Formats: sequence, C-alpha cells, structure tokens
Amino acid sequence: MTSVECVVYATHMSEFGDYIKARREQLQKQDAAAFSLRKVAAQVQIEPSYLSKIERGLQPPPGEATIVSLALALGEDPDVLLALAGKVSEELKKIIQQRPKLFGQLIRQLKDMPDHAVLHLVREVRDGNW
Amino acid sequence: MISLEHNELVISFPEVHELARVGLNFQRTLRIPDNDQVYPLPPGLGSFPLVHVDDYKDNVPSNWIEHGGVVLPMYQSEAMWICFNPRPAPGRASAYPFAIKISTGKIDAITGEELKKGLHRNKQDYVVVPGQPWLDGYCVKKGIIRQFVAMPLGQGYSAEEQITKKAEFGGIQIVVYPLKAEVYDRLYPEIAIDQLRDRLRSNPDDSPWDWGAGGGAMGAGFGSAPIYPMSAGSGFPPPQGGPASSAAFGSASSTGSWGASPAAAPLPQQASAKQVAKAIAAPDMGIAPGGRMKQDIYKDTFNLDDWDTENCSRCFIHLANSLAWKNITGAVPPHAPPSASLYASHGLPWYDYYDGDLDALSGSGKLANLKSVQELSQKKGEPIDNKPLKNLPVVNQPQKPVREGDF
Repeated sequence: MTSVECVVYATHMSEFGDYIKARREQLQKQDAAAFSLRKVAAQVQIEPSYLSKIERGLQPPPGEATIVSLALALGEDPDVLLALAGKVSEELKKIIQQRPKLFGQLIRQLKDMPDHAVLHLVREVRDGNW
Repeated sequence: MISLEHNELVISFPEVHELARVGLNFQRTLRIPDNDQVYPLPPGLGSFPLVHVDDYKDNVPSNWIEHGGVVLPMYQSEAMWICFNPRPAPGRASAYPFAIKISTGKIDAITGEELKKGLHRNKQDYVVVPGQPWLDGYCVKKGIIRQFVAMPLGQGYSAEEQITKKAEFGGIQIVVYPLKAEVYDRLYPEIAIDQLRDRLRSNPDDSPWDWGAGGGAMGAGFGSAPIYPMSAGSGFPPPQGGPASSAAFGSASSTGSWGASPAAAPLPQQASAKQVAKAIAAPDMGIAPGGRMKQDIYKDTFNLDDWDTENCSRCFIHLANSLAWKNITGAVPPHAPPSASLYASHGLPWYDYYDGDLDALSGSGKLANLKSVQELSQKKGEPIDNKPLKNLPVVNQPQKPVREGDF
C-alpha cells in the first residue's frame, strides 16, 4: 500500500466510523434498547467488539454485505454508507461492467452537473390515461 | 416527478421546492381475520417488488400500458398496507408536507366516492404526510379501517366492482399534491446557523438529525423509522418457550411451508396448470375490504388553500396475480405470507399507534356498507381461512411508528 493509499484508507476508517457511531447514538437516544451497540451488532450479525472498533476507526470499514446491513439497521442509504467506506456496490460495478464505455462516458459527463440537472436524467414512472 | 428506487415510489417536485420529496412503498403483511373483532396493526413483512409496466409491454394486458405506472405481484387474498416515508428536511421543523389521495379501482379509500380531481375538505378525500404514517385499508368508521385484500378482478369482490358494478380499472391509484412552497417556508423557516448553534448549546442532546424528520402541524417524529424487511428464506424465530421447527420455519420459498395461509391462494408450486393458466390469462387483481383493524385516518390541519393543486403527480399501481408474475417478469414471485394464525401462534408482536394530538376522520358509510372478502367468499362457497385470533401481544409505540418485528 502506498502512503497516499494509507492516508485515503485511514480517512475512510475514521469518517465511516464517526458517521455510523453518531447515527447509532442518535437513534439510541430515541430507543435506547434497540440501538445499543450490542443490539445493532446482533442485527448486523457481527461481534459488538468489532462494531465498536469500526466506530472508533480502529478497524477498516467492513465488507459490502455488512455495510448494507448496517445501513438498513440505521435507516441510512446503503450507497451513501458504501461511499463513505470508499466502496462502490457490486450491483453498480456490474451495471458499469456490462456497458463500460457508455457508462464511463456518462459518469464523466455527469460529474460536474448540478443535482437538478442530473435529476432530469432519472427515469420517471410514466403516467398514462386513466 | 415519480421515480422508482429500491421498490419505493419516490415523488418529488423539484420545480416547487428542493425539499418537496416523499417516498411511498407497499408493505406485505398478514391478512387479519374478518369477524366481530377489531384487530391491532399487523407487522410489515417487507416491501412488494415494484417494476415499470413499460418494461414488460409484451406480457401485460394492453390497458396496463395505456394506464402507465408500475406493477407489483399479490397472491389472491393477500393483504397489504401502504407506508408513507417523508424525507428528512435538516434544519426545518417538519419534513415537506403532502396531501396524498389513495384509491383502489378509482374508488377513494377514505370517502368511497369515485376518484375526483383536486382536494376536497367537506368529505376529506386524502391523507396528510407527515402525520399519517401508513394506510392499511378503507376508512369505514372513526378509528377503524377494513384491510386492503387482493382478489381477482371480475369476480365481484373489489370495492370498485361493488360500488360501480364494473370491473374496469382494478389496481391502486395515487395522486400527490405538495404544500405550497411559500406556506412551507413561512410555517417551517430554515433555522439560521446562529440559531442552530444556540439551540445545540442550550440542549446538546438535540440533534439536527431529528429536525424535519416529520412532525410539524401533523405531529412530530415520523418518517425516519428504520425498516427491517424480512429477507427471503429467513424464517420466524422459534415459538416462545419452544425450539424452532425447521419444517415450519425454514425457507418458505422452497418448501411453501407457510402456504397454508390464504386457503384460496395456492403457491406457484402448488397451483395446478389450470390455475396458473387462468392467472396468466387474467392477471388483474383488485382490492377488496377485509377484516377490521384499529387505525385513525387523521384530519388535515392545514388550510385547503395551503395545498399547491397546480402541481400534482399521479401513478397507477397495477396488481398482478402472483401466479402470473413469472410469466410477466421472468422472476419468481415472493413466497406467500404466513397466515395470521401461524404468526399469532408463535407469540410474535402486533402493534398499536395513537396520536392524541390529531383528530380522526369519521369514516365512510359507503365503504362501511361493502361486503367483505370473507362474506362474499362464503356466499360463493369458496371460504377463506378466517380463524379468529385472541390474546395478541400488542406493542404500543406512541409517536414512533415502527411496525416491523425483530426477525
């Protein structure tokens, strides 16, 4: 691992850990039992000590499946948590890999567009006559 | 505009306000019995899958293409509830409010009237979100609804057929109106950075994460409740005080072990070729009234004029018989839900929710007069499983509308 990669990795560890800790503790204020470290860890099927280390930035973010479970447990968007962990979901990777040239061009073109312009590209549910 | 994100309809009005955004999803649930009892809220068993009707043009009836919208699969006599999911608005005292009209077969689920344009207040024909956390059925009486239950269109069960004597539309229709932007900004102004700092200093436990998750005029704290969908193949926990039986709690999709629930609804692997062929030939399902459940439909506390009726989004949700789902989409439909009696026999929780700050609507006489699925199925000599349930463990969670079990 290069020193630059090490810094990026450490940043993800800390950002991800800080974020999920803050979110869990926030939910814990509303429901102490349901969002204790132990309860959330059980729901995500990991050891409480492991979750604690992730929250404190002592362990790198977990794998994709665990991050998605954490997102569901904490009411967060899985893609946002994956991004905080420096990852992209396998689902998105597959979508890009199926049409790499097209999606490569598309993403590069969209990267500087404002949100409202990107929203215009979102597929709408078509309304008909009824 | 309406988009489809992770089996949820996301309705947004970027042209009205950047915070004007709300989610709406359709939750699988237990069908409650239809007898003299009024039942508490059953759990949510995860969202129904939703797909664009346009993606399956060659496999659906032509009128579905004409209607546009989305499709979801339901078994005959399967129940559902509609979950409203307001989006947090950080720094505001409320998520962006919406007036949402829900109709089945173009019959309004609150008034029993045929779907009309606009919003009406003499007989309120919409729900307000945030405020109304969910809708489980037809508003038949103050504090009581009759559960939404799917039945094949054309057999006389649906509210549409009973009221209009026609089986024309089926499905579910939603129409959404945002609050006027100036009303939102006036009632729930953005909290300035200085105020934000003061607020946090005076109460360090307060968090911007809470602000705008719901509330406002229609009550606080809605909308950000996490959902724990029950994944396919995850069974129930063991019965209280007893070991799990792998036969009863194992992977339902492969064994069909929970299929005892809707007696009139065979699982794909149990259905005869004739039943599947019939479902494929006529996949359209309508919504009919089922058992009675305790639920308030809240009165609107805004002025009628506060709603932006110039802007609206609408969507037709087609209901495909689950037996025809594979033929339409190529995907296997979700397993049938467990029966309410099986769920209850394991001591699993039911739910209660009550917001004392809001008034409830009185309910529609027209809807109250409809015949239930149970009544009609018995008349037709095709009775459905309707065992009454007693001593249900109810979890009361005021101001905290989480209805998922700990699966």
